[in-house]
Amino acid sequence: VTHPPRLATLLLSLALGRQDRRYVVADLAEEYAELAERLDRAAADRWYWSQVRRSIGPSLGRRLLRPRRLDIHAGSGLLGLETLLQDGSFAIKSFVRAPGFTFVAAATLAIGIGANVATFSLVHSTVLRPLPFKHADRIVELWAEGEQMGAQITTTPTNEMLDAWLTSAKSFDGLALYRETETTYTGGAVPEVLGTAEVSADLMAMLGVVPRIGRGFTPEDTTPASQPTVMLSEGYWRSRFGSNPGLVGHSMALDGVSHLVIGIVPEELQRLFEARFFVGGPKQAWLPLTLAAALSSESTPYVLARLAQGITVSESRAELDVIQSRIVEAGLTDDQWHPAVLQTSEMVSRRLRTALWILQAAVVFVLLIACANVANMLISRGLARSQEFAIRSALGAGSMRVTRQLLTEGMLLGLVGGVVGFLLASWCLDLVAGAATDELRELRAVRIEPMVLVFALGVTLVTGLVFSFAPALLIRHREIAGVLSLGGRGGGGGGAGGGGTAASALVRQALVGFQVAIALVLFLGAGLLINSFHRLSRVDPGFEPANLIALDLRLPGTRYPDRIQRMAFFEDMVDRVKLLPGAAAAAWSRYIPPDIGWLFGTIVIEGREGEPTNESPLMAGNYVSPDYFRAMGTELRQGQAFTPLDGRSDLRPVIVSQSLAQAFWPDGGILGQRMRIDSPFAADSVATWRTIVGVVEDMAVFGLGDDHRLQLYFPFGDRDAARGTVIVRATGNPADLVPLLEQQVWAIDPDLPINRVAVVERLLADDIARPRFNAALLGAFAVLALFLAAIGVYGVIALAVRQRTREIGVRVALGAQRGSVVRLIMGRGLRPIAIGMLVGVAAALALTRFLQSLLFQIQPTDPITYLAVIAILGTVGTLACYFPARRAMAVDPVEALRRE
Amino acid sequence: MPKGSFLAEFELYVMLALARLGDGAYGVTIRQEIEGRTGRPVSIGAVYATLGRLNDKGFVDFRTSDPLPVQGGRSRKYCSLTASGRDALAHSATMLGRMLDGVELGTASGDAGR
Repeated sequence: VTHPPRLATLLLSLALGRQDRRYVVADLAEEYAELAERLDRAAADRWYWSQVRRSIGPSLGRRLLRPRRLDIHAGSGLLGLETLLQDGSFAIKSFVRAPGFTFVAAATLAIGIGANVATFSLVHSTVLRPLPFKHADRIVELWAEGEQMGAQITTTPTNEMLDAWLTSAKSFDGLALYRETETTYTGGAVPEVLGTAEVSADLMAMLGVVPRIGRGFTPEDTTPASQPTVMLSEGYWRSRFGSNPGLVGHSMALDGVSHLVIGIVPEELQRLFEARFFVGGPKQAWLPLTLAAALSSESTPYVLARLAQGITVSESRAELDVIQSRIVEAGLTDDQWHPAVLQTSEMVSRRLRTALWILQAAVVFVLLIACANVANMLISRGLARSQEFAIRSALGAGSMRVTRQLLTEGMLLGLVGGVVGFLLASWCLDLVAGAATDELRELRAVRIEPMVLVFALGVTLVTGLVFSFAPALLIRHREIAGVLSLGGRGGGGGGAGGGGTAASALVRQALVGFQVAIALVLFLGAGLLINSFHRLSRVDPGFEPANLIALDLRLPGTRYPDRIQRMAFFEDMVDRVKLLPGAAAAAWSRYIPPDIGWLFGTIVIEGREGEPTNESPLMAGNYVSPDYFRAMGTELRQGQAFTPLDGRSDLRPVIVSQSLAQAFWPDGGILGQRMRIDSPFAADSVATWRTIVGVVEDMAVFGLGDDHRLQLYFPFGDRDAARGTVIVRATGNPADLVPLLEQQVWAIDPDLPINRVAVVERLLADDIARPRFNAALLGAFAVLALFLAAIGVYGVIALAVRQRTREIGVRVALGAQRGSVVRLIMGRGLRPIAIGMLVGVAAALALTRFLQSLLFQIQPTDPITYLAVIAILGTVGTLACYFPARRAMAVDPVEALRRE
Repeated sequence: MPKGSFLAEFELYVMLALARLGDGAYGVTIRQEIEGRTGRPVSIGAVYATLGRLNDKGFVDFRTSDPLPVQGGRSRKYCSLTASGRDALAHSATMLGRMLDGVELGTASGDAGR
C-alpha cells in the first residue's frame, strides 16, 4: 500500500477545518492511489504536493473568514472553547481589515522581542548555559588566589598545592590538568605551528566526551616507554586532511618526533574549550600530559575537577583549605596562596558579565518602549472602534466579553511579534557569530536554545497581556451612551469630551513620557560608550602602527640549542629583510604591543633602597634588538638605544619609559643610574642591578585603553628566548611584503614554521574590538529606541489632530492664527516629552554609573554627552510633533464643520 | 429564490458539476469533473471551501456514506443540490444566457474578435 507524503498530509490537515478534514484527506488519498498505480510513485507524489499547495490557501481562508453567527450574549464566562475561537477569528479579521496598524504593531513588537531573544541567547550561552558534559554541574575549576603586593591575583595552583590535592583531596572524583603550548608539524609543504593542548589522559573520560573517531588518551599513553600519541581537532582534520578517516593509525612528525594519530577531538568539545577555557587561541593538536611533566615544567597547568557526588563547592573549598594549612605547616609552601574552587561559568562571566548585563538591560528597555508604543496604538485604535464596542455592549455583550476580545487581540499580536522576533533574533545571531573576531570568540558558540524559546514565549505572552490590559480597562470605562450619541465621530471630542477620553489622553501622554525617558537613558548610555570608544581609538600608542608587520617565530630547541645560535638567526633574518625593496626598517623583539610581557615586582634604585617605590606591582617588560625603537617609530627621549654588543656585555643596560623616568627622577639625572626589580617571580636577568642607558616615550604596551606606564626594555640577548618577533616597516602595502618575508625565513631555515604574520594596525584594532562591539550594539539599541519613541510621539500627536479637527475648525473660523493652532497641538506632545526627558536625566544619573568599568577617560556624568543627547532627543521629539501638527494648519474650517 | 444572489464563477462550476453527477457527487468526482471539462487544474481544497460556502447559503446538502466495505475503508461526503440550490442554478444559467444573447465571442482557439 502506498501512502501519500506524510508531511504534505499534515500541512493540509492543519489548514483544514474540523468538519472537512477527514473527507478531504481521504479523497486525495483515493486519487493518489489511483495515480500511483497508473503512472508512478514520483508523479503521484508531485501531484499530491501540488494539490496540497494549492489547497492550503482556500482551506485557510474558509476556516478563518467563515462567517459565524454573531452570538453577543454568549461568553459571560471566561472559559469556553467556542468563544475563544470566536474571539480569535474576530481578532484575525480585525487585523486583516487594518493591515497598516497590524504591520506596524507586529513589527514593533518583533523588533523588541527579537532584540531580547538575541541578547538573552548571548547571555545564556556565554554565562548561564551549563556545559554539555556529563555531570556538568559538578565540574569546577581549581585556582590559587592570593594578594601580591597589593593586587588580588587568581592564578594556576603551585606545584606543591597540586601535588597535595592529587594525593589527598577526597572532595573530587576526578581531577584533570591541561596546558596550552605549541608544536611544529613538518610533514606538509611548508612547516606549520600547531596550537596544542596538553591534557591529562582522564580529562575526556571525566567530561564524558567520546572522540569523533578513533580513541581517546589512556594512562598507557603517558608512560615513558609508550609511543608518543596525538589527537587532532576535527576542524584541522577536515581542513588539512579532508576528513580522511585513514589518518588515524598513521604517524605525523611533531617537533621532529613521530607521533601516532589515535583519534579526532569532536568539534563541539573543541569549540567549547576554545571559547571557555583556552586563552591562547585555536588548537589543532592534543597531546597527553603526564603529572610528572606537568610538575617539572615552569608553566603550571590549569586544573579541572569533578566534585564527588553530594559534595558542594564550599565543602570542597573547605577541604582544600585544610590541606593547604597542612602543607604550609609542613613548610612545603608559604601561606601567600589560598585554594579557590570556581564553577566553570565564573571565570568567563567575570570577563563579560558587566557588558552582557548592560546589554540585557538595554534590550529590556527597548522592549518596554515597544510595548508602550503598541499599547498606545491599541488605545488609539480602541478609540476609533469605540462605536463598534458601544454597539456591541448596547446589544448585550457583557463588558467582560469586550475586554476578553481586546485581550485576545493583544495576545495574538504578541504571538505574531514573538514568532517574527524569534526569526529575527536567529538571523541576527548568525550575523554576530559571523562577525566575531578572535577577541570575541565566545560569540561564535552562541546558539538559540530551547531554554531561549521558553524565554521568548514568556516575553511574548507577558507583553501581550501587559499592553492589551491598559486599553481594555480604558475602553471598558467609556460611557456607551456618550459614544452612541456622538454619532460617527469615533473618538469623541478633545480634552473636554467624555471622562474616558480624558483618562485615555492622560495615559497616552504618560506612555509617551515613559518612552522618552527610557530612550534618553539608553541613548545616554550609548553616547557615553561611543564617546569613550572615540577617545580610545585616538590614543597615541607611542609608536607608529601604520605599515608595520610582525612575524612571530619560534626556534625549535633541537636545532637552536643556545642563545648564540638564536641571536645569529634573528640577526641574519633582519639583515636580509633590510635589503628587501619595500622594507624601510626592521628589528626584532620578544613581544610587540598590544601584548607585551608582564613584570611583577617593586623597583629598587641603587642608593635609594629605603624610599617608597611603585604602588602597583604590575609593569611591562620587553626584550628588544638595537633597532627596535627606530623600527617601531618610538621616540628616544634621552640617552641611546641598545648596541649590538649589549646582550653580550657585562654592562647590563636597561631602557625605561618616560613615565618611569618622571616618577623616580622628576628632576632628571636618570642616565647612568642603576636599578633592579625585586620580585618573587622575576627572572634573574631582571633582578640584578642594571644601568639605565635611555628613556623612550610611553607605549600602549597592553592595548590602547591600558595605563600601565612603568615600562622597561632589556637587550634581546639577555633572555634565553626561543621565540621572537621580527618587525618590519613596509614602504607600501604591508600585505605585499609578506610573501617576500616568508621566503627570507625559509631561505635561512626551510623547516622553520611561521607562527603568525600580523599587521600591527590590525592587532590594535582587534584589541579594541570589545569596546567597539559594546558601543556599536548599545548604539544600535539606542537608535532603535529613539526610532520607536519617535513613532510613539508621532502617533499621539497625529491622533490628537484627528480628534480635534472640529475644534481646530471652530478656532480657525473664529480667527485663531494658524501658528497658535500648531502651538496648541504641539503642546500636547512637547509637555510629555519634556517631562520624560527630565525623568530620563534623573534616571540616567542614577544608572550610568554601572557603565563606569566600561568607560575610558570619561565620567558617567560627562556633561557634553548629556547635552548632546538631550539636544538630539529634543530635536527628534519636536520633529515628531511638528509633522503631524502641521496637518492641523491645513484644516479647512468649512470642511471640518461640515463633516460633523 | 434568494434575491440578488449571483453565483461566483467557481461556485457555478461546482453546482453544475453537482447537477451533472447526481448521486455520485463527492470530492473526487466533483474535482475531476471540473478539471476535465475546463482543462485547468482544480485543487481539492478549493472544491471543499466552495462546497462549504454553498452549504452556508443553503444551496448544497451533505450526507455521509457508510464506510466502504474494504480494509481501512472510509466514508465519503456526498453532496447534492437543495431545492433552492437548483433554483439558484437555474436563475444564474438563465441570466448568463440572457447576457450572452447577441454577444459575439472569439472561440477559444480562434481569437476571431481581433
